Amino acid sequence: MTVLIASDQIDAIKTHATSTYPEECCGFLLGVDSALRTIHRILSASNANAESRRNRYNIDPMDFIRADEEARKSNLNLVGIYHSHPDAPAKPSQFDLEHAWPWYTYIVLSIQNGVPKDVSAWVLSEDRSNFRQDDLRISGA
Amino acid sequence: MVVKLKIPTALRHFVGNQESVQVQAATVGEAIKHLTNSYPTLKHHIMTDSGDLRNFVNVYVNDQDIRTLKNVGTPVKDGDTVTIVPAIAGGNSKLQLSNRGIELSQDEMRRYGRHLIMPEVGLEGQKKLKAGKVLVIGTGGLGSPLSLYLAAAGVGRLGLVDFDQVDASNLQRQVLYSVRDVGRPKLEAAKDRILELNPNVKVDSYETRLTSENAMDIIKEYDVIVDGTDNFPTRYLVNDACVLLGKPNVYGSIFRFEGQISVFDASRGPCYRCLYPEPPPPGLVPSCAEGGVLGILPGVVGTLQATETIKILLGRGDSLVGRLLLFDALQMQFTELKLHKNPNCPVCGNNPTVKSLIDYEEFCGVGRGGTNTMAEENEITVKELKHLFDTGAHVNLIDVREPHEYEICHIKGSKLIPVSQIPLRVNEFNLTDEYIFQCHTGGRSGWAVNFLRQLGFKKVKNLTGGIEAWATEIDPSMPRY
Repeated sequence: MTVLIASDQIDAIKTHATSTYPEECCGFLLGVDSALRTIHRILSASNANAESRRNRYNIDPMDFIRADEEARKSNLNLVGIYHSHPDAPAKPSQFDLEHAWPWYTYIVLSIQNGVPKDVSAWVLSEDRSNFRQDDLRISGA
Repeated sequence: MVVKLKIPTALRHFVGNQESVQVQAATVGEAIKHLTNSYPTLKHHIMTDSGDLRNFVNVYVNDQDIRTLKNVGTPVKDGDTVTIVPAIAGGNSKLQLSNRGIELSQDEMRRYGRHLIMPEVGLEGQKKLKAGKVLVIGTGGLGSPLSLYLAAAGVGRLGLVDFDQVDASNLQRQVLYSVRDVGRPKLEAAKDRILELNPNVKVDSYETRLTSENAMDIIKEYDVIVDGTDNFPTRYLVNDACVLLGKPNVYGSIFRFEGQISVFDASRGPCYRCLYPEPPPPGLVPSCAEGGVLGILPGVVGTLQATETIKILLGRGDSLVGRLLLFDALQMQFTELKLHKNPNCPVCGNNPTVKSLIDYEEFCGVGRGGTNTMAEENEITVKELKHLFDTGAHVNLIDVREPHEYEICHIKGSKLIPVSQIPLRVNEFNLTDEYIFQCHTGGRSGWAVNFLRQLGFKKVKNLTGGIEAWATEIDPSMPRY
């Protein structure tokens, strides 16, 4: 699937990742589906992992419910999740795979030494065995 | 009851793009069963193969998490809304350490020159080592080479846990210590030696036994945990705490000529409990104090652990995650076994039952015939034994050590029956006579006493502290080992 996101929203993810580095950041992707999936807005969330935020993130279920309501109010859908990998590649890990949901777009941002690097988008395969990389297109400056 | 099941966007395409589905159900479990029966492709996303809810599926009845109610047994009534809420979790499996803000002084540049010119380490890698925080549990045979090499390599912060004092019998393998340290607390001597070697290292001393009460607080401060302990309760404790905190656990163990090394990291592979779900019966596997260890062996195993630790800090190479390396010094052979994560592991499996630290002494002893369960009336002290000898009483003293130990020293009048032969030679004992069993420190003889008691021998006792206690308290001329 092709995923379209505006550059200012990518910038917002990068700013979030920089502010939490060396810990992981996470948040929601709000958008609409037509021939392609367009992400209109991101909503940052706080990393609720208590013990190891440098390589783990959790999102509080109540944050999820609020994000879903926020999406509905804006006539958007909650279409995915973003998170950062501090000092690690922009690829989903085995741990990401084990905890992934179908259909959502997972955007992963690599941040090295505090500087945002690669960004990529992924979707879980139907049999849950792996992630397929989405075609992530960044629009407009 | 007719309830509304709200479906998250991620699952709507399985239910014909509906936001919610009406189902007839009396409980949450029934509602979810109806849903997955009507839309079978949905099932494996929210249920495990064994039919439980996946642990990243939250279910709310109206605005209440069913975990705070009666889980899937939570009753529902007409008009209730049952909402499936995705628990969102993930993260990078490999802990990559940040070296941001870390600088090396000129002195450090010179010191680590041989690292800096290696492409796999370089300046960035050396800064990662300096940023690294490693906890070494136990500063004995394994902890000695571990802490020396980690300090020499430039690991920035070393935590050391031990509560022992240096004994002359340690010097055969514990290369951290010298003759002048005998009698000193190990941590004090270890810190002095490490700072002599590399004053750039910050050493944190925890002069305590690692317990279920303090383990989480100590371990959470560190990036990598290295297990250099010699007993099962602590080994299980370290494992469980590392799984709960998501820390890599660099494991090593030694006995006589043989060693084992692995890296347990539950986020990427198996843990110690996947390998050994249950500890052996206490007293059956002799400790190094009882069975002996080749002095060089902890040197080999400890430096392999140090190597794995450095690789984790650098984020380089293939670690021993999922592999158990066996070393046999007598054959001079390394063998590798593949380890698999146990999906039913009580601590790192799909449905863990151990969610906080337990009582590990109990887990490794009580109720299974161990020395820990030895009732006080089944014990006899060396002073009481001496008194029996002095009064001229007839004493049946059975030494259950091995013949080569008996050769080093024995209590006069004792009869040698190695512990492994006790079950075969039960007919040499009778039910009416009294017997006192003794080994090196009381572990093996404790096993023998419990074994015989279970067979109905009521007049068997264990010599507390074994021949070691006899040598220290009664007969200082006796050689100790």
